[in-house]
Amino acid sequence: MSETNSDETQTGKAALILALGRQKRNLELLAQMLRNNGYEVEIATSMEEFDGLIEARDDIAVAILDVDGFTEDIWKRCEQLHDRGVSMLILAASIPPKMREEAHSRGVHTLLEKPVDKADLQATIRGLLRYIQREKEQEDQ
Amino acid sequence: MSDVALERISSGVPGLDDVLGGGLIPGRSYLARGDPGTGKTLFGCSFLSRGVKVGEDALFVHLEEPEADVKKNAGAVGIDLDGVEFLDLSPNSGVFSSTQSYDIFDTDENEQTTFTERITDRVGTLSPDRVFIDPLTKLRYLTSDEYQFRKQVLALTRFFTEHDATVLLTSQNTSHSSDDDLQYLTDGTVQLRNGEMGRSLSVPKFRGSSVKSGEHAVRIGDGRPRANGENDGVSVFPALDPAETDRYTVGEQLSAGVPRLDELLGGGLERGTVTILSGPTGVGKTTVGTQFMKEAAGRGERSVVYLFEETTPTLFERSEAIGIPLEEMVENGALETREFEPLDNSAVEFANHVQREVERRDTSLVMIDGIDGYKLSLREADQRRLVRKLHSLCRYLKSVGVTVVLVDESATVMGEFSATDSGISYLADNIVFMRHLELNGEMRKAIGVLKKRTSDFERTLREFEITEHGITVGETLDELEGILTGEPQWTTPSEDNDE
Repeated sequence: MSETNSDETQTGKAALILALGRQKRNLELLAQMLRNNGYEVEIATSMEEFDGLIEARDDIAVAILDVDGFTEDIWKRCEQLHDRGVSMLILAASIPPKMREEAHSRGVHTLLEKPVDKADLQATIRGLLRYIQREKEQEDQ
Repeated sequence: MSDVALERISSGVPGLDDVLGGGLIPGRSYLARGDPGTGKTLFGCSFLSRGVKVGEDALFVHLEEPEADVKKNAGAVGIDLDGVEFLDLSPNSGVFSSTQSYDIFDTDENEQTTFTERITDRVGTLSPDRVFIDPLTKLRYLTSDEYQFRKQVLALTRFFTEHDATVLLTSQNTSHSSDDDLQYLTDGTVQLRNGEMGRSLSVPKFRGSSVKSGEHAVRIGDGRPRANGENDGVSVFPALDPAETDRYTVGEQLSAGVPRLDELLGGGLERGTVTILSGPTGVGKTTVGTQFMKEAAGRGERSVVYLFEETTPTLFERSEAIGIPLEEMVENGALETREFEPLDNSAVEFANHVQREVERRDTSLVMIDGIDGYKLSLREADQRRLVRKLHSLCRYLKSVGVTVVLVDESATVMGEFSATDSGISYLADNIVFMRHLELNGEMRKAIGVLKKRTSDFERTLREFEITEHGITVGETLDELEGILTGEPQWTTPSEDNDE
């Protein structure tokens, strides 16, 4: 697949994407699509699982948060991820302007309303990874 | 292309092949459309079951009902689906659980590929001769717009054609989603209906062949074997085609076996004509009709009497009492009696019964007893339509040389004479009427002929009696007047007459 090259990190290893969500089927479909595109995917259906994965893996490139609503728990995780330099993508059925503003203020890069177009989602992830790549290249210089 | 040039395969539904001019054309796609409960799925089951019976591979792609339910429903009406391959694309109860529901992607984007891939994969593996997809309109929910839906349907039908499969699709027509467009995408359409007057179908489109026009009756069996040998499952009863019934062949005169009755009729009833026996209750209409059937039996001909107003045992009992051995005639195969349960049949089904009796069992005389019962027993909203269907049936019977006797009861026992009360006199070539009359304080009977299209007839009335020896017709009643009023007067009073 043509995307595979851009989906790999500088080391040549598949980028790791962490997905959090309560609906298991959503995560399965998301993981299936991402894996088909050459990414490594970890999924978590609870905050505890999510926290565990954040602790265990230090190579997370992007975190996708499939949220039912915007709660303090979510904002807290956003801040943690931001502090660790992980790019974030939030998926929600409805995103009021106030919440969109709040999310960006906590370091979330992109917010998409569900249902999402697969092509849009794939393009967004590719864009985020390229952004990360460019950031790293600038840091290295 | 001419009809004969195309190969046909049976639809699996008795009667439908007749409507379709021989059956479905292999390798083409057909649409069965209709409201819920019209029997679309059962038509598909019959189509597949027939394929298995003749050694073909048959695939049922079901998108709504689970396989177990499909088999159970088909089995309940006597359709055997053993040997049919199933591709289950129906939702299971898991979709209600949180583990199966999703909102992250649109349904069309997520499932449509799976849907079409699973069908094409299975067809590619099995190479079925017959495919039934129930309902195809489910695909509409898996495509983003109408254009995509049409494109998918066309692609699927072409795929089946390339694999030489004959395909039957069902569709659901709803107020917010019409299935009209599907008719343009398939080679033929069978429109099913289930109205107040029973089940029916029509075939508005059939590429490559002419079909029988009109509304044809449909019956769905109850799974029990039928004593009369009729097919269970789904059956179609083709409506009579008026174009086929325009040839009239009036044949030789048939004697009633009662010389004076023959004299009244100018020699008898002509073969291939319609005769109405009209008169009030108890005057002897059925008896006169059975007399013609007895004579037909004597000539080695078969008759059928359709009873709408009395039972077979009652008819046998009455006839035996006057020396007409109907039961014996039935045993000898010279007569068949058929009772019709109220509202169990439509007029088209009845006409189809009669047609089959005539065509398959060489019947020469048909008696319908009586017209009021016919009107009450058959399902039809409009009485005028019932009479029109009777007219069509009579035209058909005449065209094949069958003699028809219609028994019609007039409302008044005496007085206020009219030929018939049923508005059917125009159907008749012959009208024979019978009247009760009171003469010198005694109830007596008279018989006369009012109309005869094909020969001359006696224009006087005769007294007649029904005794244990049968029908006796007396001399002409030319010394009486006012007979039709029921209270005749002697034209030349005499001592003898006053007795």
